[in-house]
Amino acid sequence: MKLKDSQIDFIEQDLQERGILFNDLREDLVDHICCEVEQKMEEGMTFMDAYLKAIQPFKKEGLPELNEEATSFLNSITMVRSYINLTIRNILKHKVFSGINILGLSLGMAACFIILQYVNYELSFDQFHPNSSSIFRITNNTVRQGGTSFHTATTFLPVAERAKDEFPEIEDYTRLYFLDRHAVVSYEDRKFEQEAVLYADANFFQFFSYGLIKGNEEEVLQAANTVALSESAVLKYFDDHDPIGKLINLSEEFNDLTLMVTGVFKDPPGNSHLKPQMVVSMSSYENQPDVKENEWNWPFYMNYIRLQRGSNPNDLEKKFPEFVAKYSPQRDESIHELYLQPLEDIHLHSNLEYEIEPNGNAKLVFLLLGVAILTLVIAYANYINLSTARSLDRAKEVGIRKALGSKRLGLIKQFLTEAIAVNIMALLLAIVLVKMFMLFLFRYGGITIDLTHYGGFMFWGGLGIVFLMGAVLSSLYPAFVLSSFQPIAVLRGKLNYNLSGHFLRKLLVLFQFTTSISLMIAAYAIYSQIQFMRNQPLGMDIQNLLVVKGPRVNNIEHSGMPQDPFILKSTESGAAIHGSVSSSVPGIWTSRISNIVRQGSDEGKNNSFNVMGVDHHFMETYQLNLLAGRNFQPSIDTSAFSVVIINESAVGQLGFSSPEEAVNARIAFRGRPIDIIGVINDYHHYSLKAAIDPLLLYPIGDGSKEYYTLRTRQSVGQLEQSLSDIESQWRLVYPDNPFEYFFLDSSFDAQYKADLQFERIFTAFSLLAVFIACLGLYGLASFVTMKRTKEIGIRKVLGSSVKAIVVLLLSDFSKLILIAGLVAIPIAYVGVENWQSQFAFKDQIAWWMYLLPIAIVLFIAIITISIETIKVALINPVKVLKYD
Amino acid sequence: MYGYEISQKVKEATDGEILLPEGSLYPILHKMAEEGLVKMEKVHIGKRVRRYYSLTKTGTNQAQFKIEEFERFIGTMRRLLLPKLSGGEA
Repeated sequence: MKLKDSQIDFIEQDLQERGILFNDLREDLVDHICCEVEQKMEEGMTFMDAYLKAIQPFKKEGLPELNEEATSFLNSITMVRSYINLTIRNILKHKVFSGINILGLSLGMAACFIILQYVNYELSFDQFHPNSSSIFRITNNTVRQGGTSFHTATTFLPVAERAKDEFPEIEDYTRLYFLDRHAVVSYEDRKFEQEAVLYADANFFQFFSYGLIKGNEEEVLQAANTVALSESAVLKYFDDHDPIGKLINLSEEFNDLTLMVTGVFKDPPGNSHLKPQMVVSMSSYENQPDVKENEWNWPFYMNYIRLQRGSNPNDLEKKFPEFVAKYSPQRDESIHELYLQPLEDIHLHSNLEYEIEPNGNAKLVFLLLGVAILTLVIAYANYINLSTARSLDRAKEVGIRKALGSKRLGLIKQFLTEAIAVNIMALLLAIVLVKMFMLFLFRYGGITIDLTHYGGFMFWGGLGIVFLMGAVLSSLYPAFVLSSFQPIAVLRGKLNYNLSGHFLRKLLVLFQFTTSISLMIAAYAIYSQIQFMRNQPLGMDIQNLLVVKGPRVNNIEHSGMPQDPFILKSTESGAAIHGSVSSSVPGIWTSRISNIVRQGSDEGKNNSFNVMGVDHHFMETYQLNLLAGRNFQPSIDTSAFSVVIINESAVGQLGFSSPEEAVNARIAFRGRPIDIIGVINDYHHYSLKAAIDPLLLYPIGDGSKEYYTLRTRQSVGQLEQSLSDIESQWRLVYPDNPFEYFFLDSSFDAQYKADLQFERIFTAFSLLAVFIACLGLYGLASFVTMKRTKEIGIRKVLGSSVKAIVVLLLSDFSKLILIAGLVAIPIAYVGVENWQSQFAFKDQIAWWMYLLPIAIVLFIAIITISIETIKVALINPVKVLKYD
Repeated sequence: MYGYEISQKVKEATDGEILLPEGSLYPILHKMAEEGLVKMEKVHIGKRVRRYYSLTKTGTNQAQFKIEEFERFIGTMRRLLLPKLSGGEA
């Protein structure tokens, strides 16, 4: 007798309601019960009676349990759930231990994360332009006859244009002229100083992708006297009003222009070597007669070209000498060499003259990358160390579980789950730490980073893979070690813990301490070197010196006067004690020339000299010492390059044996005779990173009055008064020029800015490394003391004091740290020597500076270990011994 | 054979001495299927789905091994128990 469909449906539904949820099982049971019911109905029962009878045996055993039993074989979810449950319980059971473990790991991850973001940012420069990899900048190396060369980021105006006509592989080009001084921009009655102003070819916004918000890429800079402004510049001049079609006035060194605003572009991203605020059409600039006249004389223009896909920049470079010979008129003996520089390399790999902004330091970036990787490795090593240190604790658990039938694979799965859970928690904590510390760290480290442009899929994907691999790799070792215990050995209480494991742990701690001691020595050496450089006597006095940038619009009525009227008025009014005009000031580049020789000789014509124009008050303003000869006298010495005062280094370089011998001697520059009238002491024109170069001072002419230096009165209260007096004198003498000033001591010190940044970052990471290493040491100490608990008990019973036991345990670890110290010293020594080699004036690192970090680390380590050992040493021996 | 058939077969072959409890039969079958000892074939009979279970190659080997193991066990038991019994009679 066959059952009807409706009856089958009923059975199926009923079973489901009774808890048989697992489909495969239900199908089996439905068929089974149907057969049973059919048989019973043939024996004359009704459907309902037959059904109830048929499910009787199942009801006894419980249908939901049956379902559970059937699924547990098939469904690993239950097992996973159990792993996770156990994991949570284990973490909660050992809160302090898990806390230390997670904290150590997350600190390492966070540090790595932060550095990677910075490194990624530094590496991402100028990559936001599509085709950025096929864009090149043409640089210019001027080789003078003496052999000295002057490699600039800029070249002559017509280079790119001619090159495009000549070489088909050049797809497009754009040129720009960057105003290296601030310009003054006015709109209606508002007047602002504007930085980052450049003149650019009409296709600038097509060539580079700065993103025009208003205006058309093709037309925006087409006409003469048009300008595109950045969003923030627009905000500055026009508030919220629409700037298109408005007229603004630009006055810079050479030009005074009225410009019509035709476009607005987005504020350039931080990771761009070129961050324009105002782009003026090149046609407003290049049509001036002197620009045309000097197009092959003035190498001041950035020339960018885009190559066709697949063409080789090296091949193009090889054709340049011929190209230069063809187009560049040979006016002097100098040879111009052109090179191609990839756009993406400019920020990290270029350090030429006339760069738009100080570029990044590839060495520093890769050093930091190394530190990041090292930090992460230390953190993982530490994690492995701490995890396996708990093996004794867990050996019994493993023994019992194995005795109860756990397989090794199951245990490995369990430990892996725990390890991955800890890793994930550490990662989450690391993200929180990064968010918390990033702003702080970058502010403290003095690094400004524009985070709107970092990241990208590659970065996050790569980072994800790194952390995942780290998690798995660092979890595997503890998982295999912990699951390898033999139940019988463990449960008998005779765990022969793995000797090689102990050795590995010691090695890890040794590695961590070697790293952190080296880092500390290096951090101290860096600090000491920088302090040394900042505190060395400079050979001049730069305290209380106020420097005002020279006027852009020079007033014709002031020219040819023996003393600048502004200086004269400032000193006369008493606001300043001394004042001087010069073409450069300490800390700022001077010109360099070669071909200076003793008259009648040709020897040493390749040597180069710094040259600087100064007035006759220069020496008293800077408090330099005249060693021999006399100062300039405005009535006798005209501004021509015919008399010079030289420094001691120049005396040596020119081959004079003493300053006295040099005075009144004659030298020559390209055959033109020059008289040496005086010798001054060597002073540090640049930071102590550089050696003191031979220097020639000549009487300054009107054209090179770049800086006005004033020695202000010393007392603090007077400074403000002096400053406002000086400013009012400036307004009187140079009314059309902004009053821009700085204090020489702080601007001179700013030369060490990058070094100070480096020092801070380095110190922060060496402290972090020490901290993480101490966590590792704590793990090792707790492991070893736990292992030796019984030994300690017996020692105490036999009369040992707590002190003796602590000393015994400490001596073991102290040895480890001393070994680490011995390994670290040569490493640190080589590193420090290598780093110091970039400085002309090196600090002697005292021998004790190498020992001090070891002592500090030893001290911290002893405290760390004592926490654990004293606890164990104080335990009553009865407690540890009574069970044996 | 399908589930019901197996239980009936065991019942018949042992004259009702061994009754396979349905509560154990199906979980065991599913476990064996999971381990690859038996394979399942579904046959639709009207609204019902009937699963036929048959031994796979590994299943046959395993069965052979288990039977031998069981025979050895019986043999051991016999050697263990019979001398005692005979000793008791003597």
